[in-house]
Amino acid sequence: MNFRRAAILAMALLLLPLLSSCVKVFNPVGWAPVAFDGDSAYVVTSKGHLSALKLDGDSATASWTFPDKNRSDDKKLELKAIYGAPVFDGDRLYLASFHGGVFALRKDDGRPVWPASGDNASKIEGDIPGGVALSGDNVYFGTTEGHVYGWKKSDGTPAAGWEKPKTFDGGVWATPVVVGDTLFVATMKGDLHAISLADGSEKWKFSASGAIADLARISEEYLFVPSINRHLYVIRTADGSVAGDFEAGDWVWTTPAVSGNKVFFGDFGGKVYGLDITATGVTPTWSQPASVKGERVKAGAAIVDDVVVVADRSPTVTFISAADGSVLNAVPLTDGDTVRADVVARDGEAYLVTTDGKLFRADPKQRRVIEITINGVKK
Amino acid sequence: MIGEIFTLVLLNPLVNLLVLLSHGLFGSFGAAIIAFTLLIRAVTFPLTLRQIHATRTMQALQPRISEVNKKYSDPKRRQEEVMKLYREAGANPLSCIGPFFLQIPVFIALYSAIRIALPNSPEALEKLSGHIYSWSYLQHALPLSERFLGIDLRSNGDASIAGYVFVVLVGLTTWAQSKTTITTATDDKARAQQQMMNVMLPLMFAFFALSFPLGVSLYWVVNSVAQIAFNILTYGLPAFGIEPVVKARTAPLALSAAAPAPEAAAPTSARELRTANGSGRSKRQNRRRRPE
Repeated sequence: MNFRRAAILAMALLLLPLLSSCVKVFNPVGWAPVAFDGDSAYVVTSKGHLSALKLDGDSATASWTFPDKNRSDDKKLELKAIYGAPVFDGDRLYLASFHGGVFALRKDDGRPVWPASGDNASKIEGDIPGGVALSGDNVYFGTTEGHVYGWKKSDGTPAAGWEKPKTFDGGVWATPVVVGDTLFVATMKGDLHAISLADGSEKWKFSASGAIADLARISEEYLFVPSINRHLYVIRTADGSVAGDFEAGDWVWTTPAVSGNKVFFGDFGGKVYGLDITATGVTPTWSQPASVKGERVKAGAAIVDDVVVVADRSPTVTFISAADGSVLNAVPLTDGDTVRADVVARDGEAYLVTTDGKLFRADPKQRRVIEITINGVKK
Repeated sequence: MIGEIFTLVLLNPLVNLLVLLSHGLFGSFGAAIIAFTLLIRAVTFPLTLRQIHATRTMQALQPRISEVNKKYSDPKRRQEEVMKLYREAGANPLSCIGPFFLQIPVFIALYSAIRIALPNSPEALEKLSGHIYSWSYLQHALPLSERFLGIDLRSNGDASIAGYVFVVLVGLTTWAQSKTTITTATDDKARAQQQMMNVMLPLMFAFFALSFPLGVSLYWVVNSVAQIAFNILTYGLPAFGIEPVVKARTAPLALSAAAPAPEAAAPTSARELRTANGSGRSKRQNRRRRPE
């Protein structure tokens, strides 16, 4: 290598970060949906920070934020991102963070019950790209390294039978789902495992043709199992048999809006589908899928009064008739980042949060979207 | 605009090729990088061979270029005479660095492709969907395993002991590559400069490797090893008595007939290739030997 070539290569290497900056690579941001408990809403108001809000019309006031950087004991907490909604139980909520472990917080002031100080990430192998599931006295969550942990809700120590995490072939990105006495765990290897909560044994395993990054309960009978290779499986909880295998136009990585025996969901190609689930299989509800103009749909849809509310990455909120799939209205969110968090239905309206922590309320009757101004968040 | 073209023409095909290779090689992304590197070397082999011949021709011309430089003080005339020499010899100075230029966009694209194909966050995997072609074979391959021989190919060189091992390997293979490469240095100053670069470059690349994903360092190491093997095949390894397998193409007849320094015009051994003047000889010594 002569001097001239070396100089060119050195220049190229120096410019490499600049040249490759046109290829943006995403760091964890999180996509936890808004969660409601009583008259409070819990929203990830900034990356890795959860706030409890008191809603008052078109505004909301934060009563607490966790971690609170004004507190010395929270200063070292680095949650990085939150992907799953908090789950409520009594006077507590349970929260999984991508890099900082799992927390049990008091609902009234947002202070940790456990861990008493700092985080418990060192007890967990891998990051947590989903949320937690509660059942009985335990809290369950999965990690990117393919482990599923079962901890006691009371103190965050391993539960009986879960002294060691259960290990699966492939990362666990989807929030585990509990139906009855069974814990369902999906892996990025494409397997869905049904684990008995009574004795920890595996009841059955279903293998999809692609990675399963999300998982949702449709009913006691069925699970919604989307795969990033475009397939959407409806799996029977009893035995893992396939009730339906639907091929979408693009990746399906979302949770559905459920209304009776119907599910509604979007794909990454900007199509929204409705499926009727019957004992004999799944059939499309509409003659054609609805379109959100080709924009990727990661956020789970919500259904309110026979209107499906879908948010895409552009971000635009689209109101779709559940009856025939016609688009009733599309409202661009001009003052917000993209939407990846699921849309949540509540009291005849739908709520959604953008990746930059803004909260919106979609009104299916008026087909309009209003931003809820959030005040008092400590950042 | 440039970013879109870069993504469409270079990055997306590269990401998909890596996913394809990875799926075909039992899900090993590390093996895919190695296979990709060797594939690129094989595809660019004719260019590399042409580069070698061009370098040798340029090397053979060096004594005459020195003569021209001494003979003509007018820079314009000097340049004309040098270009004339190039034309007579059928040499193109740019052909020496053609394959090298080709390597730069590939390297940049690979740097980006590794960061995209091995997502470090759920958002990054979501983004990957926009780069992957709709072939079911590729769709089934995702997500890729970031592990290769126990190391995380996404992590930077300064993130683990394995990373530091790669940093050292990048430095060592770059040094070995420099040591086995032909040089066109014609005087003591140029040789000194060359020797300095032989030390500085490996250190510099090792420094860069600290902040590169290990997948990129793996590419660099395999690429350097392949280049070292190629160099040994074409230049031999005199220290170990290894003769070149690929024989040097002789300079054009027109040039040879007028060539003032036969040993420089048609070098026959690797040692003689090290400098245009022959091992241990200065330009002045060469000029003394030249027939009048």
